[in-house]
Amino acid sequence: MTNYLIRRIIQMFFVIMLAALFTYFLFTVSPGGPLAGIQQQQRRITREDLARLRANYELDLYWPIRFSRWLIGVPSGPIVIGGRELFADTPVGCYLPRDRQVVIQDGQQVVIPAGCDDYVYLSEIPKLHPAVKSSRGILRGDFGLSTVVRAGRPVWDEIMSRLPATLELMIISTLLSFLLGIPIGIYSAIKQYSRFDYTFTTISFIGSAMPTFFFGLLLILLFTVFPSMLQNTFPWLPHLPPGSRLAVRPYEVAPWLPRVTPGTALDHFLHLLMPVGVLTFFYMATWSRFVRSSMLEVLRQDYVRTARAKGLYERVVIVKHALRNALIPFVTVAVLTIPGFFAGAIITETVFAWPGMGRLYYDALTRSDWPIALAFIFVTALLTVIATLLGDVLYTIVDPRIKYS
Amino acid sequence: MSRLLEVKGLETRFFTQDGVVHAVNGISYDLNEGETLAIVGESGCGKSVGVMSLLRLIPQPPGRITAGQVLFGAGDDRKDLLKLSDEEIRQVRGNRIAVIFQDPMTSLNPVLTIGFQISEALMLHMGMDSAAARKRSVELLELVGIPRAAERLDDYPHQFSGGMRQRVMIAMGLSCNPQLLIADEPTTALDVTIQAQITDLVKRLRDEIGMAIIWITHDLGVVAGLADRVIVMYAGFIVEEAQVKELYANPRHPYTLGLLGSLPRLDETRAHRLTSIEGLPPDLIDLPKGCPFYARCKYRIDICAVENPLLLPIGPGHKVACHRDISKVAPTVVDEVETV
Repeated sequence: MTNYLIRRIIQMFFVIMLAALFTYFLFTVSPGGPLAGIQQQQRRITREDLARLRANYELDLYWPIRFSRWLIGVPSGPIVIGGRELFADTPVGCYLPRDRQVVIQDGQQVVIPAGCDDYVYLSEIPKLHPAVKSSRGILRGDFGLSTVVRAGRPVWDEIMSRLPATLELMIISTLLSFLLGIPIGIYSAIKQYSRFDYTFTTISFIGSAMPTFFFGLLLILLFTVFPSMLQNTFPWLPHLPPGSRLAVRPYEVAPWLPRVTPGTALDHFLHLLMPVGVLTFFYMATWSRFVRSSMLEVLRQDYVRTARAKGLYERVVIVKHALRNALIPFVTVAVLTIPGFFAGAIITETVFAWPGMGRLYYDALTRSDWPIALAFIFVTALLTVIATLLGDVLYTIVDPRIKYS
Repeated sequence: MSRLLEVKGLETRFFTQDGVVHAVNGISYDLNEGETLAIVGESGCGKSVGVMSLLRLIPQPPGRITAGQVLFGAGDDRKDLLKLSDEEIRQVRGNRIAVIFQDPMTSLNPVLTIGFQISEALMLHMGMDSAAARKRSVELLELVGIPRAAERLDDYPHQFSGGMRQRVMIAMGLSCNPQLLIADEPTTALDVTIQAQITDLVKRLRDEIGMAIIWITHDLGVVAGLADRVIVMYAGFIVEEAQVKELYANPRHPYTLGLLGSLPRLDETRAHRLTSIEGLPPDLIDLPKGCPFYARCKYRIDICAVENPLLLPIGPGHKVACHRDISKVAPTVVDEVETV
């Protein structure tokens, strides 16, 4: 087991490195980027201005160099070994790139190929990039500075300020979906093809088929927009806050309820209702389907018949003999919700203006704040790999047939 | 010897999407205390469903026992198992009637130790505490011949071989001293040497404990050394019933003749060829009106196509369901069937 764990952790390290490399590379080659808007106004902006801006985002460095600075914080200048500076004159980027140009010279067309008018050398890095953007590298716990969303603030601080909101939302909805989905799945399987089963398989089908952004908007329409529109006809209709985590000023939900003071537990609760409802519905649908099918599979097994033939109480047959086996695949899949506790729900958080990680990622992507987006992906990948390992280890605990050596 | 079990007109149907499967079609038989009854027939002839119906262990739905009585017990204690409440039948299962299933590989729960799986029934039916149940489990495992029983109590089923697992199943079945042990093809999934061991084990335990046994099999060879009486089933009907010696010496139903003809024998000459029964059993959803064996029968006559023969006594303890009077000694093939 120890050997297995060591092997797995080494594997995990390589997986994480590959994931980091791939995501960084994809961000590099994808169109857009922080300067996309500025480049479109090229007529008003000089080549030198653009170069300065590019240097601001480290875009003047070649991407492997940038990647290495982002990951481990080197090179941050010439490599010094034994007092000697090595590779000081190695070009690591291009400060003033030149596009391919065609000019008329002496009545002749001359093609000037694309190239570089001013290279960045390794020794220039400390001067041009004063070691703030990727001072120590993400592997050493430094996620760099945000460029757009919270320009100049450390990414980690921003993540930390968003994490509580996401944890609250995700943990509540995941637990609720377990609490509802698992019993529904079990009962559906026991009473297969009953009215209960048909009702809940239909509901789960809707739940997993309906996109969360649509369901979220539907809820806002039902509980916020319509009650406001119908305020004169049906003043008693409750009116839920459509988004964000806490209110700014006191508000009224329904005339028959006291006014809600911002920051109170009730305020929290009312804001949580709709996003938690959307996510719980969605996850519950998935879990109940999963548990139902896995339970149906187990109930057909011979050992369940053996348990019945022993004269055990039906309750014992279901819980001790069937459920115990049905939960084996469930446990290993359920641990994969762990990365979600960090990553949040991108779409639901955006729909409900929930100040969590998912929305931060959405903002970072739409506004090309790469340090935030990369940090988000990196941590999520890390948690996914850890959760997978945890799932495999849990496997040995729940299933005595599995042994790693 | 007194009656232990009396099955009257048992009828089990499965209501599936394709139609109603007539799995068991009004079978009646009885069993004395300490007697061993073998039920033979090919796959899908209703042997297993027939006995699982006794304990109401068929999946419901789609299955349903549509008619019949299953009287179990001696004297005043005699009750119709089909009329018991769920709670009452639960107290019979594993306690007074135990079952051993066909495939020991899948019949034990993979995530529970065998010690737990044996003790469970002991604690439930015998009211033992866990220490006593554990002690008894070790005794039972020793009884069925599992070496180092005390150490193996905390092992999981996958740590046992197939034969050993079947021994565990037997130990589990015998744990509450049942009056009747139902063995549903207990040796089918095992290889031949292990089959013999398991059969011998069951024989030994029967002589020691004295329970009655219903042994379901499609292997007539196993039956000879084990059973007192044999029932031959075909398409959900009993077609012949006789004492074991009588059945081998004087089979009277064409199907039994066919089954015996397909068995290799040590005392046959080399030139003797094994015969097979041509064709397949009828579709249980769409049973023919007459004799179910009609399509495959070498001795069929016109009446066989329209009337299903009743199971009638033809000698002491010997019943057969056939319109013709045929025997092994003088099989009178009157009109040859085209396929032969």
